[in-house]
Amino acid sequence: MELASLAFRTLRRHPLRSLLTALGIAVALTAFVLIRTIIGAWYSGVEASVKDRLIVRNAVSLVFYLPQSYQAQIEQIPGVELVGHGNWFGGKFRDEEMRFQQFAVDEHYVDIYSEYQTSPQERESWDKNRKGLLVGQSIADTYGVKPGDNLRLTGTIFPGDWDFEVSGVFKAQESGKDTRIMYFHYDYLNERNKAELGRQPDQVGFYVVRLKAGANVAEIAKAIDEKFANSFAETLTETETAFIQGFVSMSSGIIAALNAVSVVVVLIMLLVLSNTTLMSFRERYREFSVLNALGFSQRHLSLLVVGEAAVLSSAGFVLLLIALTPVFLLPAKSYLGELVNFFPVFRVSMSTLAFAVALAIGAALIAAFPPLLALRRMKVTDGLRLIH
Amino acid sequence: MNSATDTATSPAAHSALIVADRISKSYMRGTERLQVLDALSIQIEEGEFVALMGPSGSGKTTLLNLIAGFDTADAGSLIVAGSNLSSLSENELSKWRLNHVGFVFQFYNLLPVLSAQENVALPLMLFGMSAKERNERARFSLEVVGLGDRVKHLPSELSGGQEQRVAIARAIVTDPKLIVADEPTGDLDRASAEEVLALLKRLNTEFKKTIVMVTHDPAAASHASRIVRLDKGKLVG
Repeated sequence: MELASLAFRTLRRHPLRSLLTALGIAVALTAFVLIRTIIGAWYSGVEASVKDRLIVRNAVSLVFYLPQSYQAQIEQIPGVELVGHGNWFGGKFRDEEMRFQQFAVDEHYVDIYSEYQTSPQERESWDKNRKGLLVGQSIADTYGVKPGDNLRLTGTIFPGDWDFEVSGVFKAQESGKDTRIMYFHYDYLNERNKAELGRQPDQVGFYVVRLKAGANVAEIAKAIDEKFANSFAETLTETETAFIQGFVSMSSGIIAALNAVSVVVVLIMLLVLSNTTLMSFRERYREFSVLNALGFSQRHLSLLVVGEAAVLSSAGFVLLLIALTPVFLLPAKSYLGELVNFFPVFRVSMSTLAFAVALAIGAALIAAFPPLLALRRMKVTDGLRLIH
Repeated sequence: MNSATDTATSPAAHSALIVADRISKSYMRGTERLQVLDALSIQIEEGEFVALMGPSGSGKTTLLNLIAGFDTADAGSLIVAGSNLSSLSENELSKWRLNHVGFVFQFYNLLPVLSAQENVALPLMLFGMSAKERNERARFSLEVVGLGDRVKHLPSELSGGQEQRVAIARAIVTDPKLIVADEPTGDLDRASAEEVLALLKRLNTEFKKTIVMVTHDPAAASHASRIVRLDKGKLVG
């Protein structure tokens, strides 16, 4: 029997208290990990974005369009390799609110987002089919759609029923990419818009610019904006990362609140563990004196105190891993339900788990600190006197 | 044993295991200083079984605590098993106790979550022995005290007398020269007390352990080879 084993055995003295403490730690750690994961999911778009890909939008607001004629002019700027454009469609599918992104795009746009991959046959099929639709793997999995299926969206920005034929399903090269996206031809949108709606035809929502290798991102962004300065539709060009960051920062209040909650959760965990550790030490003060009398040094006794806190923390961490098993093993839809629409990329990262381990260790050390101080002041005779 | 070790130099001290020379000890009680031991001198030879007796507050437990290395004297010199205890640090005292002294307390002080064998093996953890060796030695100690058939029992499954015998087994498992016992029969019925006293006597005669025992009980003291009486911090007989 070693010190660690002794620490473990000691905790069996009050099994219910030890179990409740470990559960308290597990609940706190689980809450902490889930909050960090939610924040991570919030930022997943930022993390997955490409820093040297530029987004060009109307300088006034994203809701204002840009002329389609800008595309050729942007292509002329040195350092620019390819320019594509996209329009936010905002349609309903099966009478549901929009659960995925729908963009009317040109072929270049699909080429630029090369991290989304489809088979050459499916891509060719999409190129040739004016009503062709490329859907992300998540959508295909969620709604059970496959190439050849007909699909109807009901437009909200562009009213009416819009019929499509699924040409292909694309996957993300990396697991951190959201594939709840749908692409269809801008020409289909633009021509019907011109004929039936007359809602700013030949205009695009935004441009996506792929740069040549080694190009100076800042200089090109500046050159684009200067090119359209003093025009009726001035541009604001920024990296894709900054563009998505701008969306995320709209929710900065919520994220700050979540961060605050995660700190509170950690403090609660610390209080729970400290309470148990201190209570256990006080109850067993005489026992520590006896161990000291038998020859256990201050160092041994300190290790025992820290060991007991560490065993509780470790038990809490093991329970955390058990609690997170569904997150590791099952698809997000099964445990998030409808929330999966808000967090399409919901993964517990290794860094978050490492942080949780560090927290568990740190909590054990901090919780052991008051008993350690008392231990330093302890005299064998003080403890033994308690029995006389 | 260590650099702080200081062998007694007087001729009489050579065969003595314990040499206390004018040791004093006082405690603060509120704002008042209470003199518990007052320039007390005593010598205990190796192999003796000494009973310390006296009224409450006479200083017998304080003297035992000093001899056991639980506390240090305010003044005077105390040499036990060749070591000047006043010169040892807390950690050195812990190590010294581990190597030289076995303890028997009135209330046994066994760890309730450990079996009899594990309780006895507890001090051996600090010697870096293998688990097998620790268990063998603990089992042997339990057999010496007549509890070879109770090795797996928890303290809660033993009688008071058996618990005290487990505590004695724990005291002898490191094979110390000196055993200190503070009212070892104080919490026992007469029959159990007699068993424990007989066992201590056997450890003294058969295993040559030096025993210093604090007791209020004249019947218990009668098992000792010498009775030392204290009153108001001084020897009285």
